[in-house]
Amino acid sequence: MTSPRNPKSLEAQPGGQRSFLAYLGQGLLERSVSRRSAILFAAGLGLSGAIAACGGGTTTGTAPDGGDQAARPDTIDVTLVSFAVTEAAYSNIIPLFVEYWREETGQTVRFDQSYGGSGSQTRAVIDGLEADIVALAIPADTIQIQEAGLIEPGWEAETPNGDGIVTSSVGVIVTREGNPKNIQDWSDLTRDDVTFVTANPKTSGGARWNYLALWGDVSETGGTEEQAKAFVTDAFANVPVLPKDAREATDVFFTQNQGDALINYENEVLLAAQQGNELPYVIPDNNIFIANPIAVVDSYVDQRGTREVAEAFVAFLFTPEAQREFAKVGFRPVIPEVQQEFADVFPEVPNLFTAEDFGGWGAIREEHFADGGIFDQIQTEIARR
Amino acid sequence: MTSASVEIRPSNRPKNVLQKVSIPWIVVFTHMFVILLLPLAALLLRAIVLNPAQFWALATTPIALSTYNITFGTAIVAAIVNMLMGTLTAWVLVRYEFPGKRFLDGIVDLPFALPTAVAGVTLATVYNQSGWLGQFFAPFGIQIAFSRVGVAIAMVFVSLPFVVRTVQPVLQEIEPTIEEAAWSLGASRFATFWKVILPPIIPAILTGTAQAFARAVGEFGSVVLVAANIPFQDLIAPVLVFQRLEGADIPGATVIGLVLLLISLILLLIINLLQAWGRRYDA
Repeated sequence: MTSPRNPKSLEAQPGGQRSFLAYLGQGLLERSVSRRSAILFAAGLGLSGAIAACGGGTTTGTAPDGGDQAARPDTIDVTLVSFAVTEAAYSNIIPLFVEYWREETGQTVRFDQSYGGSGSQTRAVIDGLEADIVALAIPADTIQIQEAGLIEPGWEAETPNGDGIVTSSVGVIVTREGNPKNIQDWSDLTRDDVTFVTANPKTSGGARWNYLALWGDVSETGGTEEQAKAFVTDAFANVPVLPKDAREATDVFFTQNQGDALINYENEVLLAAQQGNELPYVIPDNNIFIANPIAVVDSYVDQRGTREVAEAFVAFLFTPEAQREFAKVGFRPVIPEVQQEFADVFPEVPNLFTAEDFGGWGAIREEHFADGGIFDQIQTEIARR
Repeated sequence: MTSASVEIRPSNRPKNVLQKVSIPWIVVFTHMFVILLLPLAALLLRAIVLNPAQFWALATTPIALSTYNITFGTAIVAAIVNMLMGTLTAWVLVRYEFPGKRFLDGIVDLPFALPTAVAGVTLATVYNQSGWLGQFFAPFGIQIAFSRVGVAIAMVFVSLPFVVRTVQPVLQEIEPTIEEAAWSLGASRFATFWKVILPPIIPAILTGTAQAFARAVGEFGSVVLVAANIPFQDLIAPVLVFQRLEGADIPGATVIGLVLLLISLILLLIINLLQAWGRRYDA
């Protein structure tokens, strides 16, 4: 970067000091060049294949452009982009839909699926990941894709309930075994003897729900904006670590042993319980209606000729079969029939408020999370204490 | 491209000009343009949409100022630690014979190969209050992971190879006979080190330190995992850039990125001048 290197030092001199990798490479090549280099080349190919496979966390191989939809082709490729924890549900729903679609139309649907943090998925789609359907963790993310011009306004109205929400959840407080600090409600998180972990609402869409739950615990129960701000400030002063996303927050709480409590979502806790990790948790009575939106990405489906099947898939997600699969992995269903079936799994929350109660996501982003917004003020205030 | 190459050597010997427009030159120039200059230009263009007052406002919010302070302060500490320990490591690797030397020599490069996220998680696990090393500090109220100390350790880790790898070849070229000559002329061990061994390796040390520093300033992947990421406490500028990107605040992120780039360039310039000064006696 800064050093005018002596070019000779880059050549492998016998006995000279080289980097480990150069040493290794040289050692292999010195033996039998032709065979060894063929092996190395093959190994390199394998490695790059492995690297490409690892990249699958946030992106998938792009489906071939389906420009030939004049009739209905025998097979069609659809790309679904969603946030991490939905994978278990979709892996069960997709075969049901494939079967259903084959009976309806005789066409075989192949799904490319991509799961990752909601925020990074949003950016990937905006930057050119050609998703036909986006199922994200927070309407603000879908709105971002809309603002980028890829989804036409009014996508909310295109789902059966008319709100674009396919699953919901609520905020919960996970405590240590036996709840030694006796944490029962949001207000306990402001106590001086309690520390808790939440992801940073600036980076994690999901953590904005946590923040709103705390804020609403005051503002939606008759408190003023000042009181709400003071309450949230007191709470965030007890946060020892602000990880960048929910997955990392969980890791910091369990593996790194930070904090007495963790704000999480009910669906994650229920999923963990199914996987054998029963966690002690409480569902506060004043709670946020966590809404997971779904939308068809208009410009990509029109470009790829997949609108029909993408819209059919979205509609399918609101059938009892699909909603049941969501409920099984911990998401609250949004159709009454399935809600009744799972009534004992998802206790009713007395005072549930929504993002609209705070003025909708556009206003929330401006007011709370913009540079110099309320969250920045809160953090500056905490540092001053 | 051709005109630029003519500028390089306005010589009256056409053969020389032709040599400069050789294929390797074109390939290198294109490569550097596509890989390095074009993205930098894009970064600048993104920031140009802001007027200077907006730029200044975004660059100097209290949180932003605290992140520069923490980033550069911690990176300097990390670079100094690497300067001392890296030089010592190179010395031991060149002058000592011991079992496992080749192994040690090999693993010095490991931080380059290890994904930084893995490094971050590992460091957080080892240094948290109940981790292998963290538990010995916790009773004294010293927190390592999720504090500025953890950030510094992560930075030391990722920039470890630079000083070792720049100093090592230079040390190797110094003939032991020169030291013997110094001793035979009556120089003390200390004087020999200070006046005979150190001067020729100083440029290499500074180069390695500068590289380590630049690497530490830019480090994101491991720090974001080992730090608490709380503003004014241990939030570093690259993580702030990430936070602003996540908030779809592209101009805000670009501004911090540019400020980092400018400060780093100035510091690297200073270090280059120091290096030139260090080489002033070279032929």
